[in-house]
Amino acid sequence: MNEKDKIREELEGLSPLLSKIKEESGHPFRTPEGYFQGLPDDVLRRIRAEEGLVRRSGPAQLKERDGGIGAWLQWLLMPRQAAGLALALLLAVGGAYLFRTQGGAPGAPDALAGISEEEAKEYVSENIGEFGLELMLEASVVSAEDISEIEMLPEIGQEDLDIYLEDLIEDLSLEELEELL
Amino acid sequence: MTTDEQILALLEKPQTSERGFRLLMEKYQERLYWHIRRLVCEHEDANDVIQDCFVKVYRNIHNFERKSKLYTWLYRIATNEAITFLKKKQRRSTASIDEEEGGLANQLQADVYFDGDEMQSRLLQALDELPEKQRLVFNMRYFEELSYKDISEVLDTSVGALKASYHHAVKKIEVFLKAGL
Repeated sequence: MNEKDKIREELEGLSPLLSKIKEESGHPFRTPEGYFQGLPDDVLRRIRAEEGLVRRSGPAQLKERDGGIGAWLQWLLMPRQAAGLALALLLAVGGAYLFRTQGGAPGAPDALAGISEEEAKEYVSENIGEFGLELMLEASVVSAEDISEIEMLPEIGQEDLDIYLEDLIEDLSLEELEELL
Repeated sequence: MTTDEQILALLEKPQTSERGFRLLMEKYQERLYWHIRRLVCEHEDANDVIQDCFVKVYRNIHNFERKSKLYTWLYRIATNEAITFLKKKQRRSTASIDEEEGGLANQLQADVYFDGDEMQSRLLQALDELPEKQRLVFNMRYFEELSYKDISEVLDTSVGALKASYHHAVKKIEVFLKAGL
């Protein structure tokens, strides 16, 4: 008896109703016409586009070219890295904002001593709308030139960015938060 | 048909890697697509997930250690991508009141690529009620007719536990379907 016969016999024993449905029902789903013929090209196009992006602006190549912080900044401002950078910037500005409102500028570890990981994440998450680009500009975290590059990002929708940021915030440990701040 | 060994050999060399990848996609894209589609239901979602899946395969094929069959390794990636997608989608719909009013029945009705009858729609709703692991096991056994050994490699779960999961899933689905008759 082959595997398929075994599976059918097992199902017949467990549930004659489901076995009957399986025998009588066809495939409930379908795809657009020619979908599978075009899928390899779609995937390869996407891979080439992403590889081209990395090849043009990956940190290793950029570092070789001018070896400075500017190269890393350029790399970070590319679409795939921009969301991560945005979170780091938001956290940095959030930290600066916290220090200011508390009337002092202690070192980051001291300032965070009374803030739990959950509170920090919650704060940034709840106040994310407060950290506009203007505030980042004011805090000298980014330059006007950087902002124009961020605003030009074509491939990341607001919803995608929100989800990505939520995921990043959830994945951050307290140590990582402290490091960012 | 090209064997997995031939495909892997082509993938190893830069000058033949694209041809190897196309052959890999042609061989496995439909099986993986339908596996993903049964998990995420909508074509557009399945298309996003399968593209993510193959991009990941392309980037990580050198990590395939040949300890398992190639297709169980591919299934594992596809399953992980689909689960990650569903979790993100669930988080999004929890945050959106509009989407909460949807539900699978409405989603299937609105899907132009769903041709199922009433019973198939009910079966998918029953599946949607199952815990994640049971749903995965049921899909792989009932629809894709995989052996427990292969499912065990994909889900990294013992054969005994898989048999129990499948048994429970079949019984729960049967109860759900009979309640609607």
